[in-house]
Amino acid sequence: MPSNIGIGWRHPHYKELLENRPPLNAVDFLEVHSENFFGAGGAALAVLREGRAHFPISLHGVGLALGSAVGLDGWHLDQLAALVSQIEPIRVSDHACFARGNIISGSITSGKISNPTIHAADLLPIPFCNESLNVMCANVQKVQDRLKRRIAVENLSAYVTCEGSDMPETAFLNALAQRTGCQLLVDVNNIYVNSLNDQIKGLNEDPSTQCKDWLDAIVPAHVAEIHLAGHIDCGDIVIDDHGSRVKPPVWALYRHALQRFGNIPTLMEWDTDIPELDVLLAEASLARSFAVSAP
Amino acid sequence: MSNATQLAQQQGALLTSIFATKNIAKKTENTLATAINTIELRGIQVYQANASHAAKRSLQAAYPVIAQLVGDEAFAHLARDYWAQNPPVRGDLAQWGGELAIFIDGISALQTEPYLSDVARAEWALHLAATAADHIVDLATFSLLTEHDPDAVSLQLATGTTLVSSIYPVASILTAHLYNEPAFKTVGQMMRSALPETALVWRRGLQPRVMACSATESTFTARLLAGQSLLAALEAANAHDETALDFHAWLQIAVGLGLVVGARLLH
Repeated sequence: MPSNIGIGWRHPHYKELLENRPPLNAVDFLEVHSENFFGAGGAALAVLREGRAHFPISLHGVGLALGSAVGLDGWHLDQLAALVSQIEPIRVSDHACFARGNIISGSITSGKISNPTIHAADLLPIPFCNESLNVMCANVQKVQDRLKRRIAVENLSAYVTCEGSDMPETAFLNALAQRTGCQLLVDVNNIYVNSLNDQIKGLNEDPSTQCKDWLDAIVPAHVAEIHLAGHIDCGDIVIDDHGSRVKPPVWALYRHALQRFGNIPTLMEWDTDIPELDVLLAEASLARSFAVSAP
Repeated sequence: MSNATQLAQQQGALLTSIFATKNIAKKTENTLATAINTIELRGIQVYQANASHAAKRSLQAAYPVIAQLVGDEAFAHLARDYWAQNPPVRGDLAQWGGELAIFIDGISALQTEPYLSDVARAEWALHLAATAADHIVDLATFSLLTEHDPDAVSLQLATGTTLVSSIYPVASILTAHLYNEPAFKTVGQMMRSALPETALVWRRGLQPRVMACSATESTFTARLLAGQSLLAALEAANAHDETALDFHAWLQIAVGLGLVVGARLLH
């Protein structure tokens, strides 16, 4: 399998990338956040259409809230379906998280909220248990039925521990893929961030080993894409901020992942303090050097 | 209680702990007790920081002029308070913020700047225009204007066309910040003279635009937006005391600005 490396295409690089198109051997695909293109028309959608004319597009969502027990937002699914129909992306993905839910009555100061179901606009963790798996499966199936295609679901970096987990995250994700036919998007940086935070809490002594065990527990046939990004260590917590170069231990895990999964399409994400396009392309090139050397 | 209900409540408790203000969190302490026992405070703080950042970034994208008018620190507070009291209901934050004008009206500290809510209304119209469905400019349809009586035809306005009327020079405040005209000194004079304005918002191609329009033009445009005939719109506009609308001159300018994109038969 040849290497297949994409970059996150964000607003600061819209114009530059279209004007000075890097060759397809430097960027195999562009990834965008689906929600940024939900409008019926306008400049952003026009830019995406132009990008689509030159590059394969991967639509990565941050708002479906696939793990929400209150269910999906039909409006959101309508918007995504319309976008997928227009762009015909190579992949559609979102996260194993929740964001929608009913706030506790009286907890919002104005008390004027007519709809108690809110959206946190964040990727909030879910417990790894049968009930949560049932919710995820039902929601993923609903999305796939609507889009008439498989989606990929990404593992999360989580900053709080959810009560009620009774299975490993990897078993949860494997079962999700097995039951729904969805694919998995393995974010290597997220695994490492979680392990570092577990180490801070005294839950493990060797983050790299824990991460390799995590990767080894994932069924390779389910994996459709790998994500790489930077993180920041605040001392008392490590945050997956997508704001710096990929850290050396994450590159090592990436190599391990490729050895296990093969040259899976890989995305270089950079979402905060976005650098010059050349820096992002250099990171992509570095990822490619790992990929081509994988067996 | 079913497992599904328990899961929904667990998720609701986490959301509440992220969104609730400190005072309110105390009031709901008992309800949140289970959640607080099972989550780490530092992690909650990360999600709250994410929320503050997202609130400011999203609101600033929709309301760049309000952000300039109130200043960076006050705007961050405004965004945080608005987020807490009007939390998002959609997973697309571009949909969040439409009630900011009403929210501003309720903030006593901002009553010294009473024009802010009208500026916010006009900025939200610009924000919506930016992603409205694309239109097609169809110049050939203008022949309908000569082929049919004016009570049988109307004009097709650009996508996102909206009027925002104010007792303040709302359009000039916006254009001074967005297009550097008129000069801020001139806007200050207009404010002191209590000059009312109607802001006309539309999309020129892919670019949202705003300009001031006269009462005559405002009435004319409003009637066209309501789907009325060209004749009805002209009669309503010319009922004003102001100078009658020179339709042909107006049309030439409006087509040049991309405000009028075609003509259409009513029946």
